Order: sequence, then C-alpha cells, then structure tokens
Amino acid sequence: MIKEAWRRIPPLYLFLWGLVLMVTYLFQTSLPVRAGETLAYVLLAVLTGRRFRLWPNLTVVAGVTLVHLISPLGRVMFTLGSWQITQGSLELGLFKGLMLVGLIYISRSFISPRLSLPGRAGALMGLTFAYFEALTESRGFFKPREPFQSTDQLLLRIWRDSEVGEGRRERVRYGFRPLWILPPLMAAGQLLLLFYFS
Amino acid sequence: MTRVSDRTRLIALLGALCLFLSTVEFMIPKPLPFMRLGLANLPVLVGLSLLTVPEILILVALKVAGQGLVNGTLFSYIFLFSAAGSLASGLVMLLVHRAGGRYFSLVGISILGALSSNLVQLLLSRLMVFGDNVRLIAPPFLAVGTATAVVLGLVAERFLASSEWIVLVRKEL
Amino acid sequence: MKIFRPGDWVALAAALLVVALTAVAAYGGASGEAVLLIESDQGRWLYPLDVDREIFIPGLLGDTVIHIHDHGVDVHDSPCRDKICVNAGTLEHPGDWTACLPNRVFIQITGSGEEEALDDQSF
Repeated sequence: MIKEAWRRIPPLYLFLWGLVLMVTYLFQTSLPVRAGETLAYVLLAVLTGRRFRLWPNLTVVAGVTLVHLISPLGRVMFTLGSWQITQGSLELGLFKGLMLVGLIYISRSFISPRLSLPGRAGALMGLTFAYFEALTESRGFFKPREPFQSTDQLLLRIWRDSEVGEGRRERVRYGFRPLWILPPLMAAGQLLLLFYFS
Repeated sequence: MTRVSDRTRLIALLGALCLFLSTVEFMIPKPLPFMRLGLANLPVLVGLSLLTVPEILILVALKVAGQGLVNGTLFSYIFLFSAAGSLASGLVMLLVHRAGGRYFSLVGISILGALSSNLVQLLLSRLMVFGDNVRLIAPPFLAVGTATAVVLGLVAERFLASSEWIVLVRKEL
Repeated sequence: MKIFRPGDWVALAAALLVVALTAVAAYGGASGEAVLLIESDQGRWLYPLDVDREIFIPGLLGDTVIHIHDHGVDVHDSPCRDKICVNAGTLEHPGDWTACLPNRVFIQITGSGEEEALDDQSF
C-alpha cells in the first residue's frame, strides 16, 4: 500500500527532497537525534519496500565504532588489557557508523531506479536496467558445477532476445497523492530537530 | 535490431552485468564489511578488449551510476568511495591495457586496477570517515583486494577464452 | 599457466610491496603516541594533543578547565584557592605533569619518551 503509493511519486521529486533530507541529516550533531533519524529512515525504507538486513548494517556500525575506539578520546569507561575504551571515541564511532547507515537508507527510499536522465544517456541507462532486470529474473540459471557455461548460456539468451528493453515500458501514472506531503514534512521535522538539538 | 546499435547493446549488457555482480557482492556477508571483492570489475575487464576507449569510459560511468541507483547508496559516502575507486581502477586498467597490453594479461591489469581502486578508497575513507586509524585496516584490505584481483583476472581470461557469447559478439561487431 | 605474462608478475610484486609498506607503517611504529591523561576522583580521561580543545574535568571542588593548544596543555582555571596549577606553565613533552591537589585533579602527558624527572617540574 505505502509501497505502491510511494512508487507513484515522481522520481525527481523524491530525489530533490532526498537531497534536502541528506543535507539536514548530515548537519545534525547530536548522537541520540541521529540514532532516531537513522531509525526513521530505515523504517521508511522498509515501508516503501526495501529490505533491511540487520547483520550487514550492524557490522558497518560496529566496524566504524571499533576503528574509532582504537584512539582514545574523552572519559575512560573501562579497560581491556592495555586498550582504553573511551566514551568520546565510542560516541564518535557510533555517530559516524550511524551516519553511513542513515545515508544509505535515505538513498534507498528517495532514489528510484527509474530516475532517468534525458537523451541518449537516459536511453542507455534504461536499456542497461532492462538487461539488469532480465539478469535478475533469471534465477536458477547459474549452475555452480559449470559456472562459465551456465553464465555464457544466459548471456547468449539475453543477447539474442530482441524483446529486452523494447516492450517493457511500464507506464507508471504519477498522480498527486497525500503521500507527497511526507518528504517536505520530514525535511521540516529534521530542520526543527537541527534547530533544537544541534 | 535496427533501433539500437549492437555496440550500444553490448555496453548496456556489460553495464547490467556490473550492476548484477555488485548487487551480488553487496549481499554476500563478509567478516568485515570493508573487504571488497570487486566482482563488478569483471565486465570491465572483459570489455577492455571489446570496446573503444570512450566506450569503456561510458561503461565505467554506467557501472558507477548504476551501483548508486541499484544498491540505493547514491547519497552516501559509500557511493562516493566506490565511484572514486571505480574511476581510478577504470582509468588505470584502460591505461595499462592500451599502453602495455602485450606485457599484461587481465590478471596483471586486474591487480593494478584493484590496487588503485583500493588505495583511493582508503585515502577517501581516511579523510572522511575513519581518520588516521585507517592505517590499521589498510594491509589486510589491500592484501584481500590483491588476492581477489588475481582470481578475477583469471576468471576474465578464462571467460574470454571459452565463451560462445564473446565469439558471437566479436563477429557481430 | 599460459595465461600469465611478464607484466603480471610486476603488478603482483608492486601490490605485495604496497601491502608490506602499509603493514610496516601501521603495525611497526612506536605505539606510544603522546596522549594527555587526566585523573580526578571522578574518573580518567584521555585526549590526543593534535586537536585544540577545551576540557572541563569535574573534581572535588568543581570543574578544572584545561586547554589543549598547539600540542601543549594548560590549566586555564580551577576552583582551588591558590591557583598554583593555573600558573604552572604549559605541559609539552611526554612525562610533563601538573596537578590541582585541592580539586584532586592530576594531569600528565603520557607516551613514548622518557618520563621527565620530577625535579624538572616547576611545581
């Protein structure tokens, strides 16, 4: 439902608001607010149909945090052997790690694959995506026993298929809907948060 | 197929392969998320001997743009890193292939491409995300990158040698 | 192995060289970078010296204000009566230390380099 309605929003509109949100997101300096905003973006992405897998994202945040914990900063919380775990480094690491995840999930919701450039560049991208869809739809083509052959056969099939990219021009009707108000609302919210907490 | 030229179709299909492989790589769980396999470089390696210089550059651009859109990372630093890395490796691979193709097989080209891409990414992540501590990740990151580059180069060579599709494409172009 | 050509080995050697160099730079260096250590009755703090900073350290009587400036450390203000720590001068080298005893705050630059002998201090 939300997923379908979101798809009906023109990609350019989403893209521009996404830019605004990204910038206001980046300027936020408070860690708790950033955590909240990041969570909100993940939620939005899931609602609009994108997948969220906990493990890879957790690893990103943990990895960045760990790298920052190597250099001590601020109040020492506890010690592991000769390694001092400091609050400042922890906060900085979490801050940066969450930022990476947040930016990714802003992109996930606000960058539509159907965002196309005009002209030949746009046509090329369109064709590329058409081939991409053809590739992703061919589940099960890959035979691990014969990786080269099975891939080759798939490529041959797609190459020879004269229909790829020709007929699949899905007309998405972009109609004005209430959901359009969401991006500006979110931008306003972030600006407010920036104002009060940053 | 008179509407779109075959060369354009080739670029598009190779570009689509880049996207496909980068999606595959994105999904593979890795012990450390920064260990890049560089699977998406495979179509570029294959394309080196099939496309002209401008066409290869277009392919690299396609790869970068497509990755940002498909993986949904266009706004993030990750996109910036991978874009810079792809650009660096694309240029290096192109240069080595055109200038010294006799002395380098795709394995060597792949190694040099991966090296430039990884170094650029390390530099950017040092400046933008990690700070000085990047130094500690650099050696294993580069080592893994080199190893995977060797494998990718071998795969590319093997594919070029054994693929019917490549034969067909070469005939048609 | 008819795939490999001479340039491949050069490329591989170059890559391994880079790996080795980065490894040496990362793991072989001195691990005792100069770091500011502050201790009070309420905890311990560590700060690098390369970024100018103003730090508030809670002690027994209140906050001692410490400035990191140009790789040097100054006690800017403290809630003690005599302000000896404030007038103690700038800490610059590993081993340099000062303290605000009334506020129970101890400040020292740690890291590689010999500990300065106590009688070098103006305290």
